[in-house]
Amino acid sequence: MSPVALAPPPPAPPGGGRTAAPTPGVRPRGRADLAAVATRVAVVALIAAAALVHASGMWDFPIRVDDEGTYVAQAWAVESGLGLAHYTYWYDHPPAGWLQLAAWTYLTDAFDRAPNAVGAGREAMLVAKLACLVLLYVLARRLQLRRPTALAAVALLAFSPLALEMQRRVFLDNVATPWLLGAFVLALSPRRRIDAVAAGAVCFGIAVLSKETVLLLFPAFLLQVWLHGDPRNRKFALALAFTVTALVVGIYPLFALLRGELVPGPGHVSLIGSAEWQLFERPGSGSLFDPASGVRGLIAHWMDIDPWLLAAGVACAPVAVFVRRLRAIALAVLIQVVVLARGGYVPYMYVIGVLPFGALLVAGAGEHLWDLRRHLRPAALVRRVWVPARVALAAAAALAALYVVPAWAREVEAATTTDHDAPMESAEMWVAEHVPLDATLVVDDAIWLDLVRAGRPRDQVIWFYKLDLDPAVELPNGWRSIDYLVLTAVQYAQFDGMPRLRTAVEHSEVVASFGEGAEQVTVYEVQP
Amino acid sequence: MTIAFLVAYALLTVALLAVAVVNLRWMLDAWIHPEGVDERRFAHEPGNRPVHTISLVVPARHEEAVLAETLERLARLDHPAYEVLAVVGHDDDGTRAVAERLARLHPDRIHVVVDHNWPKNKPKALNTALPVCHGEIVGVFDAEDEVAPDLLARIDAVFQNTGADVVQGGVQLMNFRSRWFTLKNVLEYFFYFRSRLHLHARQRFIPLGGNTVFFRRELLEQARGWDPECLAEDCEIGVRLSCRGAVTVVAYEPALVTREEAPTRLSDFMRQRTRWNQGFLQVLRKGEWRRLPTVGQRLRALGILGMPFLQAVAAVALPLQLLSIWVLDVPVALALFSWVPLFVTTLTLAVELVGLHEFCRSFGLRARWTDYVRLAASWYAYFLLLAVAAARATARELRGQKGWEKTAHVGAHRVPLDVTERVAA
Repeated sequence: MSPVALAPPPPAPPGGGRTAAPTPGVRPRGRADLAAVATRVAVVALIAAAALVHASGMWDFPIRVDDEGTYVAQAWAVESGLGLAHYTYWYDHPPAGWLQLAAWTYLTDAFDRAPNAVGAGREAMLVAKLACLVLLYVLARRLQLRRPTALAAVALLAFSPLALEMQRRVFLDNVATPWLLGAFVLALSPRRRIDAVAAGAVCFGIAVLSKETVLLLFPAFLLQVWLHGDPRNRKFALALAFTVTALVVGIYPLFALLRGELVPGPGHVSLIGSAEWQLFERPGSGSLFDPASGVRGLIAHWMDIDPWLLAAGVACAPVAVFVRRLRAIALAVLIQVVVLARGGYVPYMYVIGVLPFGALLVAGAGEHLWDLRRHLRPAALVRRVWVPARVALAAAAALAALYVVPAWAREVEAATTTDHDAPMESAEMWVAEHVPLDATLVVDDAIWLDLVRAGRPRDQVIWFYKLDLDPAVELPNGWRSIDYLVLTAVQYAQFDGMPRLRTAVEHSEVVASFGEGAEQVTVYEVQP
Repeated sequence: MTIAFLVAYALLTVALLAVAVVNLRWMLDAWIHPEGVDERRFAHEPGNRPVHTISLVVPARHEEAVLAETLERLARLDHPAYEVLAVVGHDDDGTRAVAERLARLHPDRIHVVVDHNWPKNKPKALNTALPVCHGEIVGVFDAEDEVAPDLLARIDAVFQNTGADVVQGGVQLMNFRSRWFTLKNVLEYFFYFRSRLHLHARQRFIPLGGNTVFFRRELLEQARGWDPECLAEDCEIGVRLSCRGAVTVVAYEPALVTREEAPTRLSDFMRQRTRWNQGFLQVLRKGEWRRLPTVGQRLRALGILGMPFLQAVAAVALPLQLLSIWVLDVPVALALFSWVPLFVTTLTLAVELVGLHEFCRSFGLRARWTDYVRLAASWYAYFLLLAVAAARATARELRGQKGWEKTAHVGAHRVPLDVTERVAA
């Protein structure tokens, strides 16, 4: 329990007037001001550095994957007036995420500027990342963490190789995260205003409409509103937080209802039908306790990119629950850990929601330990524990820094200098040079939009998974109607569930291949 | 679907949204930030001693059943220098006898004023009493009000501490379990006096309440008292004084509110609300608000006075509009947008549910879960009641029916329940 966080807000001046911030001119200037100016400079410098690191090489690392292609294609469909998708929108995700992407690509003409379609989306991810970092700083400050602590949290998220790789990708989670952080920032209104809480609930709702999994964190948001609330208006704050979020999220089912697609029925897709599939029918990723499970593979993959932030953030959560000001943040991390453990389907990008909160927890828990003297009673125990605790903490931090900083530096350098997207790019160039415009292609989603924007007819460029899963994909001669396939490792992994795709590949010849391993891109020509 | 229709449809949605947002904002004003709750308390400084002389005017008509107790309580308020003026009609012997008996019991406190005007109404009764008031401050109470013993001393302190010209204390209906519509009615008062009126006072345009309202006497005399022909004399005097720049302070503490009873007969409720609404229309037509200096202030005044009618339109238009989404085949984006006013209106229900809890807690009551269910269940029907009242008021005003609607005659053996109605009768 932190007595600091528990302390009531400063009393109002006599007469009950509104508390005015002391004007800078009146307040004596001193070291504190200097420190404030210095941290402001540090914040700007840090975020500029983060922007530089994120932006340099964001088109070349990591390699484009199919989901990114899906979302930019949907944004393009919106921009081009084709609807929410260029095929039947089937309520796989609420559309707010790619509506925002579409706003970026439309308003800034991104498709014509970026080197490829996914690259246009990656520009938007840079904007989202910067918003994330600024909001993370404000959130840390509003959680009454010191400026250096807040800076540390921002630095952790800015330079974590895992965050860098995940947040560069065009994922809906990256669109949702700034809204999510904004919701927490607004829930922590310094004057405890309930209109700020209501605005926070709107942000939370938009976050959910951008990526539905954010809804899992709703208890953490409500807890934050509760913890920060004042007894005099807390009830109203909670009522607004709950109702406003419900109403904003309710737009999604309402939208389906207005289109006559809320409940399943013959001849049309439905929100409830898709949700049922996602929640109950989609194969799970296995148990956290089964070493061979998909979820363990995912975790191993994340940890392989960078174990430090994720592991430290998760490790801090059970402790931070006991620190009042960090409790809601800790809950946000714990919920996501529990969901990982429950054995359902876990998407690849799931970790994105954990990282900002993890960074806050690591920094916040560090500050809490550093200030242990303030939080511990009785005094005798404090005297004995405090100095050794600080020494131990400083030593641990120094050791971690010695180990982590070089490791991160290597990873960040790789992420900013190496070109992992070259195979994809080469394959695209090969297709442009060798495949006639009227050929029928089955391709990875990542390059679909580039091919269509190059002038190929939309119905002759087919997303690989639509080949087997969408009855609307019509091929008069079955696999024989396909001329070329452009596939990556992602597709080989899914061969088992895709007989049509498999048959087509079995009847074709490799005509070009680029890269190797997980980043190999292969072009096949079908031999009828 | 023509473009013109779609534009009209969107504009209607915007208007409905504005009505819903403004109402929600008014309801929540007290709780926007925690200090707001404290700022609503009676301004009090250590060492405040009563320094003003106060006259309390109590118009009473056919009130023999409750007037004695009210006057008895008023005679025992904790203040050194005040008088109570019971205003009774020359034709109302029963009430007059009660008032005179109490005046004999408290000769130094209670005086009886006989009103000879015809036809009778509350503003005329108030105007009859005004010339014989001796206090520097004139307060108004109704004949069945339950007044807190230390209210006067606290009001005196507010006048000293704030330099107010007018002080409006809280009024609260209490019988929220009597009938299905009394629950909403009680909450209306709660949000009105606890939250909304303070906002209007800050904005310097305020329709005052009918009782527990206190004026500097000279201000009333300069304004020549109440408008004898207005059906909502309380609102009218508030608007007139606001437009002349009077400073109104609203103060609210649960322990100091004047407790009243909501009408328990639907017909009484309907007549009362019709009369208020028609009074608001009269104030609108009288046009004092047009003298406000800025356009913004005039628009705000128009919004405050017109709100009962805007809400009536909204209560009817909203469900029709939602139905029309399916009938008229509006584009999905516009259809979605047209639900937003309903969303905001739904928020007010959530706020009222919390308000019910807050109301009960403030007054040492305990809300049962059935009360919350009843509130949710009666919520929309109550809006429709208000809409009917607004429509009736408009119809009466258009037909020129300006009389005070007579309440069903209340026999002496029955305790009449609606204070203002009885004054009117």
